[in-house]
Amino acid sequence: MKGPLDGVRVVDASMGAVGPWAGALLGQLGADVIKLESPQGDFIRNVMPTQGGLSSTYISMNVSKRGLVLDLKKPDERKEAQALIAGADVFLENFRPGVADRIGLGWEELSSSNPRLIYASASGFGWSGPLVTVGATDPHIQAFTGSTSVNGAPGAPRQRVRWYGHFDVNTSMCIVQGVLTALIERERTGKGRLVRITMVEAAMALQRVRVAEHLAGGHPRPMGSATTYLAPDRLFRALDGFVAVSVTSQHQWQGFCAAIERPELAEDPRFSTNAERVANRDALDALLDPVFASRSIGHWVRTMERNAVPVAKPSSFDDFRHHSHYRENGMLVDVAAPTRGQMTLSGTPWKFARNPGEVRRAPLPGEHSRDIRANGWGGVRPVGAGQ
Amino acid sequence: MSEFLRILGGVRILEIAEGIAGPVCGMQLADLGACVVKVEPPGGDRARQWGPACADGRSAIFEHLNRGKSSIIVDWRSAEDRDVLAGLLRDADVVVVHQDPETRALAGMAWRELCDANPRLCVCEISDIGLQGPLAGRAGSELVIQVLAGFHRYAGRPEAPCRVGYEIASVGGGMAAVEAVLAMLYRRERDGRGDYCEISLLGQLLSQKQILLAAQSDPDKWEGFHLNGPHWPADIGWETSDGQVTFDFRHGERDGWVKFCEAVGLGHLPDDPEYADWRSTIYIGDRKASHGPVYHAAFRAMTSQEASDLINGFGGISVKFHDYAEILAHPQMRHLNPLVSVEGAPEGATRQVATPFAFDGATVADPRPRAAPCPGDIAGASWPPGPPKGRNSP
Repeated sequence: MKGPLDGVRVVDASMGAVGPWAGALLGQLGADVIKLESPQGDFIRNVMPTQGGLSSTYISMNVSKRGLVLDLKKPDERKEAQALIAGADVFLENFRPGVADRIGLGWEELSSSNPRLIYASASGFGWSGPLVTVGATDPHIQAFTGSTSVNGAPGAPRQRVRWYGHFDVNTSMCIVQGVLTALIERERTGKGRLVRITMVEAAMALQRVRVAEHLAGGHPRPMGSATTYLAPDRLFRALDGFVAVSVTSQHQWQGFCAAIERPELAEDPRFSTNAERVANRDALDALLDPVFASRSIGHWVRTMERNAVPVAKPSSFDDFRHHSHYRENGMLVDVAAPTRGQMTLSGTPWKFARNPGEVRRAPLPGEHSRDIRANGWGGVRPVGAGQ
Repeated sequence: MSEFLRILGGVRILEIAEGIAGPVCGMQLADLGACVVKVEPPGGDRARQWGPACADGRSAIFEHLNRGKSSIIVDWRSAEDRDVLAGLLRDADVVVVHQDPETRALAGMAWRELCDANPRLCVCEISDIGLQGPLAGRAGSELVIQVLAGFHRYAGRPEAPCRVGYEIASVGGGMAAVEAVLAMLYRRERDGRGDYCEISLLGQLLSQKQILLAAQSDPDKWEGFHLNGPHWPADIGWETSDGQVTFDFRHGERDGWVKFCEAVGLGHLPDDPEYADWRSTIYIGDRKASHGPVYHAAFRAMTSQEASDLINGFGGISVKFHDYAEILAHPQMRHLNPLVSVEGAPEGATRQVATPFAFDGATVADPRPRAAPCPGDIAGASWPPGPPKGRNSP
């Protein structure tokens, strides 16, 4: 299942989640990705929970790679790493500032021996400034970048999204964008690039709609399950739990009014356009809350679906793990864990018709060291300028 | 100012989408120098109506998501309009399409088959919740997709669930679409052939959730963070006299934590066996809830700045829980480039969030992008004179 990056060679020396998931995405796109670790290893190996003793985060962030362990403190093994990178197209790192240079894996050194190398460097707060020495992980980036000021119930203290590294993986997506852009440029120039990504800027990009509202003089704030620019668009309490319903177009508003058997609302001037509904949000909610409370989730899902209105019963992993819709769309796949059993993971986010790519199981740390040290890039076809 | 590389110069992109996901993709590709024509329905992209408004009444959200593009109005019911679109399609390199089910049916286009007729064409079709399976083609929304991926479980409380307060499904979907388009363009550079790619907003959101999917999969015995998140109180950090801050010392930085304890009058903690596993009392999860309150008085006696300075001074990690005004004013932001100035944009949209990666020594994204187009600012079946291929000095 070769992907569009078939033949591209990546050395991923990053740790944690930000860099490793970028490597995993490049691997899912078809690149040959080698995860390079020191004997002490990526610290994420020890983050709970584990499956068969190895961190589930390590396993999930390193799918579609081969594993190599080298001790960069030993001159011979450092040379091996440099030789491998001399034949690579992409190098990924997220060392603290200064570390890469110190261990012989800096941009200057690597690009002088491989001018075609694309060197992607990721950082939390950047490479200069008052916070340059402060470590960054997702919980801190969530707080720093303003996201907590729009999460949670109205009027509640600022809160983080609980214990989920979403600005990590979002930064990874930005790394992949940068690497792909540099690969396209290299087709023309033959030269590599130093690509830089910070978690702060990536987090701002993910929040760009809220930031746009702020810059225009709006006041983004926690709105529970609702949002600024649409109404109705929130969780409603039905007889037996919550149901999510959204009206994103005028067509859907007609359907919504039919579904709740209140066709006269569609003509009510307070609610006739989305802008009116947003402006009269409280009046609308006061009207709708008792309506939804009178029937079951199942009723609302069926009725809204029949009227082509976006609707869903909130679902958890246990609800959707085996759901045929998620499975038939390849959104979830079962992949062997390198330790024991299988894991249910996300499928590739892109479904290419011609070059599909795939999710392959993560390696054990250093699982392919012997093979890579003996054969280098081995039978992998290089992406050469003269190809 | 350094030269603007215009890496996608000469690349012609049709964006047939409303709302957020497709426009984010088109905007980022325009930032990289592509010629992007936005195809709008007769009433215009619905996001043109979304508040808040700029000084002249234009939507700040729309302005932001559509900078650097041209616009053409296409009524799918009109044979003439369809001909105009067909003319543009003949010379397009990329189509980014995201249509709600009614528009999709009205258009009746087999997007995937366009690639058969034009083998160099790259098509990225975005769907809400997938084009196969029992829910195939259903309309979704940011909220619906978030709850289908289980994100209502991670903010608020079980009895009052919340969404994530920004568009992880829609903006994230646009970002995944950028990856797909760039990957297809790269492949085309190598073998001369385009491709078709489908991205569902739900599928890519689950990809963003990979860490939690794995944690919930079949773990060894563990009841802590990643798994208990949905059942725990809101994660509000540590309340100071003027806000909230984060508080952490990494593993191996016990000395810093000891110094912090001594500095705030908690010098007895390091000798308390209950605090032998000290990091779990300040990090996320169960023991923070049971053992964390011992620090509360100390934090409430400090301002956020004082607390962060103290912790960071001992090698820890602490930042304030900012709002957008605070982060944009933070001195660290002068060392980053989170915003870009947009030429010709209305007051309120002159500064916008930039493309989130950079090349060292050269400008990869347009440093002075054009403002979003008026509806139908171009007409006719020929492409507007796009920027030239290659690099430009702005």
